[in-house]
Amino acid sequence: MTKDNHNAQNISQNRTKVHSELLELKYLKKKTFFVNVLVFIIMIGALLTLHLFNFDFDTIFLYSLVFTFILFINIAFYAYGDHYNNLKLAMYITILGLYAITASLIIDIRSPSAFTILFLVYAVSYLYQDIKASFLNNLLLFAIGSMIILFYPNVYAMVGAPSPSTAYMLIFLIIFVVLLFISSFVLIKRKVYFYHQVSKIKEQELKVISILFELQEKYTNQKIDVQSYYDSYDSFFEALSNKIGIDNIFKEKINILRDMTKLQDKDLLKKYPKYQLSDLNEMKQLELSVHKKMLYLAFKASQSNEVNFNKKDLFSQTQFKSLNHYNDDHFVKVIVFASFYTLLKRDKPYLELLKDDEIVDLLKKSELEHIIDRKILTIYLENQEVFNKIIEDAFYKKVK
Amino acid sequence: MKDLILKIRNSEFLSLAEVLRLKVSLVLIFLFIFGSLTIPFSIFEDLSLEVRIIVPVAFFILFTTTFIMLVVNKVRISMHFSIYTFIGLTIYYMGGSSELYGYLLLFITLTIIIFYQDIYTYIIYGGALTAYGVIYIINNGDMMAGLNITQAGLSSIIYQFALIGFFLVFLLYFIISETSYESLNNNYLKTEKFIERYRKFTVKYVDELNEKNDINQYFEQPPFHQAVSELSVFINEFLQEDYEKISEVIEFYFFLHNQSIDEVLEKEDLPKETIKYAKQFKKYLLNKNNELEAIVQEVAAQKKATHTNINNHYDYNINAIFTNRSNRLIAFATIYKFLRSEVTQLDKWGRVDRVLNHQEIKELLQTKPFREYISFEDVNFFLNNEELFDKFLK
Repeated sequence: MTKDNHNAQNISQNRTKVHSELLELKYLKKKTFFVNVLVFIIMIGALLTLHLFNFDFDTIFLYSLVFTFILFINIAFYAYGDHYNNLKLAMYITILGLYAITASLIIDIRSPSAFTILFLVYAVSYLYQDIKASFLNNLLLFAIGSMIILFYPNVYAMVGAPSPSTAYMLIFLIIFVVLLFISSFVLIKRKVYFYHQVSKIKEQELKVISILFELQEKYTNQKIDVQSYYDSYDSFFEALSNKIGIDNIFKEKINILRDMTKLQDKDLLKKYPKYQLSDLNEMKQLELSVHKKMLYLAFKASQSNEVNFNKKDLFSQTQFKSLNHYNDDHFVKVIVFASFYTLLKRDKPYLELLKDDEIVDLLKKSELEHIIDRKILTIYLENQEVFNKIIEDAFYKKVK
Repeated sequence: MKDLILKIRNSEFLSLAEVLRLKVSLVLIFLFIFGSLTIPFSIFEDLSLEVRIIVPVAFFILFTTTFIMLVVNKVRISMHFSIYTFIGLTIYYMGGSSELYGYLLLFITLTIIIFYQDIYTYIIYGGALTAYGVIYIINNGDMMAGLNITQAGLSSIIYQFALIGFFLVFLLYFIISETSYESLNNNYLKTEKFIERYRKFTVKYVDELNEKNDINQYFEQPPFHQAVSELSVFINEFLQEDYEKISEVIEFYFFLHNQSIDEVLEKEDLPKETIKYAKQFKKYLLNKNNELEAIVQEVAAQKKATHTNINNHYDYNINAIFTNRSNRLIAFATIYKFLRSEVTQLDKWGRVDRVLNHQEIKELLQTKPFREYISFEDVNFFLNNEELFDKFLK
């Protein structure tokens, strides 16, 4: 793979990652809002309970201070820029704060009932659906739970029933935490993958349209005549400005679009001092030779009436185009992999033949390895030379 | 076990059905551990002989049913039985002499139900279990108050607050997940459908180009046939499956390319095995816009280099992309010009060879799906100035 191609693929992967984070941020904001509402409700409940248990004012004040601190941090971090990192930080602080309050409440109230608040706090922190937050959540639940079981056994000592044994309580806690951890691990991994898939398919769409444009060029032996677009704008906007009786404010912009392929940003800014870099960045989306964004948009829009989808389809049922469907026969999987491999080894109008190291690279870096039967994949990876030899014998030997 | 751990690690690549299967398997393991650690002790509990017999037997029956259902691939039924087993254990402990364990088991059982990620199952079983827990605490709150508590009523309220809170927070979690999932899911599916449409165009261009250059389709090329056959036989040797059988299946695969697959599938007189293979090969034929083609095109997209990096890369609404009105107008002019001068539609022979005329564009712009790209305001602007669009942007 050339260095240029590598860079281009890095840009593409980075873009997918950024979009994935944007999606996550969108939902993190929503979750942060709900968690704060719940923290507020728990705060009211906790302060009321402390009051009814006749705790002194100083203790109640201290608890209210910590709750207020958590809420304040969330509001402050929500309000200022760089939402992604801020909200994540607020998330960790909230989880730590909630567990600190709960541990203190359990020790202060000294009732088995208070022990169950740990589970409630767990549920609130679970809302974040973040892998690191989930790890922290499970760790704190286990650490605080076992600390209380081991060092404060009188917390769960009973009056009318036999007091539970420490060992049994620990077993309960371990089962609970392990189950929750596996459950959240599976769910969060799938959620993150879903965000990634949504971003990936957006990137794929752009590339597929780009491939299609190239095919069209090959088929018609003609490129899209970008200059004719700019020339049409000149006459169109001239006529439009005359019709509505304004100065032609478009002319300069159309010239900038023409110049964008020839000049660097700094030269453009010199030539058109009225404009700032942010203006140019926005205008790059109108440029048709290099960026082509509007051409992609127009092509997608041209198909809008032809595309119907069923909202009831589930992502998971449609996501996997695979060469390894679990109900496919063994022979089918073998033959289909052989066909797939042979297809990759042939030139196509939209994809040049791939060498084995490129195929292996693709298998390792993309999700392709997950759509191929593991045993078949191992056979290929361990016998690449034989596979290649079979292809060479089939396609090139006869030519000699 | 190794396989199970591998599946957990790669769970994002499993289908919904496979994930459910994985979850039930995990719950069964926990049930087994939990049951073996606790059920034998029920013999020593201060309970009647009937209960001491019924509990292990009921547990065994429920556990076995869950396991059998999983083995025979009735995964949903198996899921329900695993929940029943946990509910049974919870009620047994709460009704016996281990009230606090029972109460904690309520949370574990709710967790199991949450793990399955089915909102209706959660509302029905989880709701019933929560209600049972609340009623239980109302009646037995005094007993579970704890040594240090002077106000048993308050302790009872804390128990209820924590349990109801736990149930409601997870209900909220389900609602948030469902709504965000639905919106992302729609977004994904819509893009997937667009790509499917583009793929149709790609396949047509490739066919036309091959025809123009006198290139046979892959399934008609003897070297291709030879390569697939030899590779398949080679792979099969490692897996030590029937040699003669795979040769037959390979021939059948290539034979299918010359047939109408739907007609083959409709033939009732064909052996079941033939139908089975035809059905499975349908998505992998070399001359169709199908799953195999989609995967190869996905590879092409992955290999495709895109050098540009601009803002709003995946936004397609000109009002979201541009803050400036004049930029929006230039964008709109580009859309019209593109639709008017480039090939974007299939002609009546199914070739990608048709350009829209002004009237067709006018109709298209006013359709509902087009609101994803331009606003009503933009359409009104177009309608007020359509003669200029028609005259200068063709």
